[in-house]
Amino acid sequence: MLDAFIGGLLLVFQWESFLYLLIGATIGFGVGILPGLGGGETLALMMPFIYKMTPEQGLPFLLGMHSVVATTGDITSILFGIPGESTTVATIVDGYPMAKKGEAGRALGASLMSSLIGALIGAGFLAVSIPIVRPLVLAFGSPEMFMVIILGLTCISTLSGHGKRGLLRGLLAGGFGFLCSMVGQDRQAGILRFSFDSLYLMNGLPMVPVMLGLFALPEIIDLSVQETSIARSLPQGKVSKGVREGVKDTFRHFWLTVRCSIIGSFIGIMPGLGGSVAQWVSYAHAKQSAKTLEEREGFGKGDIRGVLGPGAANNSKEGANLIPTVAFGIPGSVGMAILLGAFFLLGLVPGPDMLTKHLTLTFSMVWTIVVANIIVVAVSLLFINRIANLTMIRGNLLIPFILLLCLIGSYTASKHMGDLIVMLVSGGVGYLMVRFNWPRPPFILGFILGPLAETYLYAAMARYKAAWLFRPKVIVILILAIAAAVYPFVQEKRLARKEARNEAMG
Amino acid sequence: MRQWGSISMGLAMMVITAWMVITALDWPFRAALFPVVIGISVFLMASTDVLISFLGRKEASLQQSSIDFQLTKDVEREVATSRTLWTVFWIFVFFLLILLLGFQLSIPIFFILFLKIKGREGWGISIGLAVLAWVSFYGLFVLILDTVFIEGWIQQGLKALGVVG
Repeated sequence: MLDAFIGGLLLVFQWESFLYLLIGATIGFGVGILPGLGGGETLALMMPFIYKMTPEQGLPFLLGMHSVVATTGDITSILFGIPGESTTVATIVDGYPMAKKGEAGRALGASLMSSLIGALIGAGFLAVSIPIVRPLVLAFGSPEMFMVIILGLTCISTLSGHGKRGLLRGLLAGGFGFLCSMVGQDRQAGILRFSFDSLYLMNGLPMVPVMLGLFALPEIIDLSVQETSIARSLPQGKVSKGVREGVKDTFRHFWLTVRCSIIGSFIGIMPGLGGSVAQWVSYAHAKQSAKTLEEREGFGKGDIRGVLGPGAANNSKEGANLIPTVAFGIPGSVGMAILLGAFFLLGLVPGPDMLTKHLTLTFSMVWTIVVANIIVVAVSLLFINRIANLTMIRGNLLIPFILLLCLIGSYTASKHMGDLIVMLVSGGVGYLMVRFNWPRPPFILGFILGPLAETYLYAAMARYKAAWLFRPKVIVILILAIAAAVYPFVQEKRLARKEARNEAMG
Repeated sequence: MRQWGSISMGLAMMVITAWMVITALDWPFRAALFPVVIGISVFLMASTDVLISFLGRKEASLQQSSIDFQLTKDVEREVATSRTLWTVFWIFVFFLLILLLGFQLSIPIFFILFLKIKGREGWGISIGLAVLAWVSFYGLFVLILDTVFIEGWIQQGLKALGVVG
């Protein structure tokens, strides 16, 4: 085992492998920054290039690219309030307000450093967990997977609004996301649902235009309303000053970063859940780490912990995501499904062979994630001042570029003008949600996980009828979901009582 | 105090979910299960939200803010509304240009129009940024990624009429 571990490292540093890793990481760097151009899509676009490559060249190229996308995706989320990737939406919640306050450098420093720590922990997780993870993944059937999704949605709904009304609106938004995910051809019966006989809507609402519209258009409108730069009228030097502070913040909240990385890793190994869930659960965890009511209310307004949590989880889930893909051939995400296809193109068959015959190659994947992330974080930190200064550019100069990125990013979803209409309509919905205080994160989580939730629910009903509700693991997850919904209120009351007592004592 | 915006949002949600559930009732069990289960739940929650907004309960007005991006509040309401409408107008202008002329032509035209009229920038910056945007678009998406961009309605119409080849 140790030989394979060291062999993997040496394999990555063979000049050809290393060169391909560098090319992949460079592409991933750009893809992460560009909104709408996702890691999965780029993996697919790069597939034709690997036909003539050996596994030692092809895997560093693809994995080097895929593993750094979330790292640089955070940069766009923080600077422009646009998700660079679907997995970096949560970073906007606190990262973008920080950029607006002139703390873009600090947020970027924290995000990059937590991403690196997350990537290292995720890679470590991959290395140590391969032999022990199989029983855990196989123990979860459709009912449990459905309940895990409900748990994720409850967590984010609870934490995306203040008070009981916030919880209600969070769940409402999540349910609305579920409903929107039903547009198109039904997978169970083949019936066209809510598609208005449109050929375009047969495949459902494309995820990228929905996300770009929902998250980017309200921000573009707001930037235009302000008629200033993203960092408004703060002095020029202030934006880039905090980078070191951001890096220090990561170590100041080191255990939070580690915990969020572990959360990301655990979610990463669950097939189908991936980064979209990991970022929000870790955000929720970061928020729960607030010790006072005042601290908690600072989330969403630029709390550094809201950047550290998702930043770490986004990257740690990459390594963990590889576990079911490599070990069982079960892709954990869209990107992993495409990577699975690449395995076959390179002549590799996921399964026991990857843990015996190709163990060195499997460990080289661990090292690829580590090395690619170290390089990209180092390069980003080197140029972070220049990147952060983008927030000082006048809004009027930025708006057409951001709008162009949104429109092209949307169009690349299915190369259809309908993508642009979906983006504009989603933008309208997103604006109304922001305007009337409906949280958007639960909506997007419901929208992403809707098809999966439906499949699991139907499979559970078809196999167990209503009895699936009484399975012990389902009951345990249900109790966890209820606890997740109730806990913030209990915690809030306890904190309020504690503060009142402190005030009374003087 | 009643919150008419919130009430409208809740009512819209109720109408949409009611329509979805009624439509789904005609489908076979397999296809209807999820929309009906989720639709009814969302309808009930939306009704509760409307009721709370309608009654204008204290909690509703004080604690309804979501932990999400907040629109800027330091610009006068009338000014903010006017700027919002203008931005929406410009977004639609870009969309219409793409629809009529395709991406390749509409990018430089929109950049120059937006920067000159809305941004009140000089010709140098307007043309320079338009060229930069077009070169970046063409280099990355057309040359490198080989993305197929469909032509605008005008080009398609001209081709159909045989005016251009």
